[in-house]
Amino acid sequence: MRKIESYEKYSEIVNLFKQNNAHTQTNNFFMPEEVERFAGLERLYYDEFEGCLIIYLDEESHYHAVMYAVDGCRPSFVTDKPVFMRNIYRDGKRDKEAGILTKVLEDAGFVKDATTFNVRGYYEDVFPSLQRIERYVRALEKKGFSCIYTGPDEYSKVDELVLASGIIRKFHYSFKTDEERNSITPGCYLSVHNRDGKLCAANICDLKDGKAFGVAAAIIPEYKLTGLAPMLSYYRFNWMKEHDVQYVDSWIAENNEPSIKYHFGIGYKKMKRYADEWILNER
Amino acid sequence: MKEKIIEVMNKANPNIGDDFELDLMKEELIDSLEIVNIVMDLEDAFNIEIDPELVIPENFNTMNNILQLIESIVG
Repeated sequence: MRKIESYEKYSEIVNLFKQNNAHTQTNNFFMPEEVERFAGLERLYYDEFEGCLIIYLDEESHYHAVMYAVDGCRPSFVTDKPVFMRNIYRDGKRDKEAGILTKVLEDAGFVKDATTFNVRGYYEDVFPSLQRIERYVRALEKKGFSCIYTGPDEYSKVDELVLASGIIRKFHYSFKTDEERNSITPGCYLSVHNRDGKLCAANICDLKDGKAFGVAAAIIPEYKLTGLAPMLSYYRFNWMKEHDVQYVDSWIAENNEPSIKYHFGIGYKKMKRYADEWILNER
Repeated sequence: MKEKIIEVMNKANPNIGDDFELDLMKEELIDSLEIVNIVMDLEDAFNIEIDPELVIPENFNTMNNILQLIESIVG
């Protein structure tokens, strides 16, 4: 693996590969500003093989990789940490849009972990259904539950709660330096505490360029089905209004029926984008 | 009282039907959002207030348990 030191170097590597290889497929959705940031943090690496270019983002516990590949290539992947990869494709076009990449991953020993699909909650669609439950939210507050913007000192506790819930896995988390964590927009982490100050539930989202990306929401087992999930949604959409965010995007596993039902129940819409998630060397 | 409960429950999810023994959680007929809506509709239907501390799965997993909860509040 060789380090990518800058966005210019990254562009050069990718462009040269594409010039030398016709009909490449890719699952690379890194944005230029992300590449610049990750390269600056010395977290970006690459490997090149005949017909395949792999770019690794070091996420500490694992690599999040993307690749460019031509049909029939046989690359080797790093083995020192698990490698996570997502193939995104549009409705009904898995074979055409992710076919070559899928074959490369299967041949390399990757295991498909999940298929997820994209849902989007537009403020104008979702907020009216949440306004209806405002009375219940107030009743919860009278009983000592409070939903607050989590402070940076509690981010790790929230992360632990979410990971322990099993709703998402470490592969879905993007590692952040202390500096990055301290610059998270207040309210991206929301947490619900009971009257004793115990953390009962949380919701995490990312905010980039006025768009929100839902990472996860989790409730500790003893408070499941008590209304804390709708309470968090109510506060999340109020937060969106305050930040002039029009919609929040999330990805849900196809087999996560409760989450699908919940999101559609409050007015989220299904988008025509799917993502297969693949993992190599999970221990 | 039973008819009103059936009406409220089926407004939340028309697949619930009228079986008071049916395990609504096990059959995944209600989720946390529906519970909140059911609580508010029951409050309106019976002109009562349901303490959020009583909103626990054990009180809402069957219509029989919901009936008992309402009876205990109405007195």
